Amino acid sequence: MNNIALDNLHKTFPNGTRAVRGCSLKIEDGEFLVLLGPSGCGKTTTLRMIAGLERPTAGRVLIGDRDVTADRPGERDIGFVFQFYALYPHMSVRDNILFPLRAVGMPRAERDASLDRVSERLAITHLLDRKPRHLSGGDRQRVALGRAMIRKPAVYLMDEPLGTLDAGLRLEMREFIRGQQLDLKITTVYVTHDQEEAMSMADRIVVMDEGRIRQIGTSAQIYDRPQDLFVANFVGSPGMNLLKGEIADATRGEFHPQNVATALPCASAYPPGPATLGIRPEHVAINPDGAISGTVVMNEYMGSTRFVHFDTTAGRLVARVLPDVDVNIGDAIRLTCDPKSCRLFDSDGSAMNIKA
Amino acid sequence: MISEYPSIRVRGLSKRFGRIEALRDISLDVHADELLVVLGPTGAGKTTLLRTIAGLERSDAGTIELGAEDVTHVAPARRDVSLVFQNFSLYPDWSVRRNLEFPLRAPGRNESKTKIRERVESIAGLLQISHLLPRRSSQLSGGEMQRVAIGRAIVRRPRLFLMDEPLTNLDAKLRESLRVELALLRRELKTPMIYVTHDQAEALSMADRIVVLSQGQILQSGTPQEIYERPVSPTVALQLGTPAINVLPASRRGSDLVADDGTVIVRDARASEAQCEIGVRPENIALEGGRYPATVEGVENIGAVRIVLVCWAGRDVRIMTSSSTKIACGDQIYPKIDATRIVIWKTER
Repeated sequence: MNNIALDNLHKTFPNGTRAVRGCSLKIEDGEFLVLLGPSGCGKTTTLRMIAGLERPTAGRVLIGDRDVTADRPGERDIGFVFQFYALYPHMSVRDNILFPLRAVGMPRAERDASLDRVSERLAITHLLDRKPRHLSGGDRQRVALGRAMIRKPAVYLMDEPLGTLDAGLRLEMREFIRGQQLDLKITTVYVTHDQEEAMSMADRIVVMDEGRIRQIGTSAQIYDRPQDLFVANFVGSPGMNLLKGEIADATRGEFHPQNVATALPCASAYPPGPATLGIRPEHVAINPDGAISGTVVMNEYMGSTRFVHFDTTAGRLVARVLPDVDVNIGDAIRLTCDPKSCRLFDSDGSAMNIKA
Repeated sequence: MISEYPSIRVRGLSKRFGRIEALRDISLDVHADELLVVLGPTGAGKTTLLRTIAGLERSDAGTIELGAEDVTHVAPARRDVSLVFQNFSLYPDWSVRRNLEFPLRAPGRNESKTKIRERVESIAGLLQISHLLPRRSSQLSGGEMQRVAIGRAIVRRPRLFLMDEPLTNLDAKLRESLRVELALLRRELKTPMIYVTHDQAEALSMADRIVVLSQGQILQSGTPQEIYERPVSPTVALQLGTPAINVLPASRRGSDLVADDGTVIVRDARASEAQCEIGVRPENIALEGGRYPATVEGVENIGAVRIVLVCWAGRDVRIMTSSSTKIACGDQIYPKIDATRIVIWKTER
């Protein structure tokens, strides 16, 4: 069982930076867990503490129910995949990929089976006898990834391994990583700032900000039910629209956005007071009878969809509409929000859970 | 409105580095208030094209005109263009204000102190970095640095902006908001821009027109919608859209286009090719309504949409559906392609 547990981890660097501030988390055996957050949120430091590359200021790391906090990285049986790979130029592709297996003295038959599986999945079987200098940039990255993932450690730790790649290659590599991980059933912790990458790969996502865990959940949970304003805005591309305002009357279940004459109905009643209404762009619709009026300031065609940005009296709003909807910059338009899909946040920024 | 006369005309531009042909016979126009995006993978020649237009590389053949002036042999400093790189190139020990003033203090400009201050402050306001003016640039975050770098490029009102993947080194979230800001800003400045990127989302969302570059050649140019909906080849089609377009090889049987395994992909196709490839975007396939079954092999939730992976017509096919659709691995579906939204390419021999 290669489950991982983080028990109240803290890391303060000598310069006083509090990179991680009390992080507790259980990762199941065979799970693909993504640490997601902006730069400086503490996700890489957390990963490096699991690897043993950083020593926690306080707290414990357990791998397979064994306390490894004091163990050196080499004693933890970890496969660490970084962003930048270098291949050995004098070795063939085959020898490059096999290198990590030879280093641990794996029997030949087993080694060859692993090589076949990896090279087939990466579609590089025809390149095995070539030297790296005869490969395209993309093929070199494929080989490097194959080498990084051919061994079967207890745990994979990945720090933005696809960060610098071109979009097309990145998609292909995502599928390889996920396929290989599912095949070998290796517990994986994967760090990224890219929420789309997180949502498409993860069993569960941990959203981090300022050294703290903001929310843990599946991609659907994080997207549909963000626990605070940070998660609401960070997850989603673009993030949730956030309208400031007030819940005036507890019984009627109405939200009054700032500077808007008409109230918006809420799906249920909430306690009165200042609040923020969150609504995803796909739940904002152009409607001549809408309560909110706005002017189109930007019109982003995205192929399968279109994002229309509006300036309204309540603030900037984005609507996700069909790609062939015809709007122009400067158009005055009215909008509605689907009350069932709204989420309300209190003055501290925490989600107000009525029906959890 | 796009004005009639291009403010940049590039004709027959070629450039070699040893045996590598970095640019092959590139011709393009950029109009006065147009944002042209050059889209292509690493090594396509995008940066070389920008550097050649800026005058940092000398072309082997071809001409570059800015306005009515042939600048092919004019020194970079006299072309009056601004270049923003992927790496934030600021003077780290200088304040933000001094970094922004620098282009205005260039020899020969002779701007008055008041004028320089006004200009710097108005640009800082536009980019929402006024509060950063006294800070040393080494103390800024990545997003702030790139904002200042963009400010430095636009402060002196050049004839043309050249942007070389300016957002690539930033967080995904920051990239998304700066992309919107940059497009809004450009509209206010009314200066033409050539913007190089490998990010299809940036290209689609920002461009008035896109030029797709591969191995030093232009494969297609057009509006984002033209290129997304009517790509001239699978190579171009695969450059735009996530998840990628489905490309299904087919052969003609009567008036139908049929996959190797016998699945009829399109009925009554107008195409005349015996062998072809059919491009279908994931959003143009319905989960039900077709005649040939497929088993769901994977479901990904990506926010507002759900990506369904099936094996159909002998290929992995991705279908985009709304996140409210109920579907799970192992379900049987009957994919139906919207025949009005497909692209048919003759198979290359």
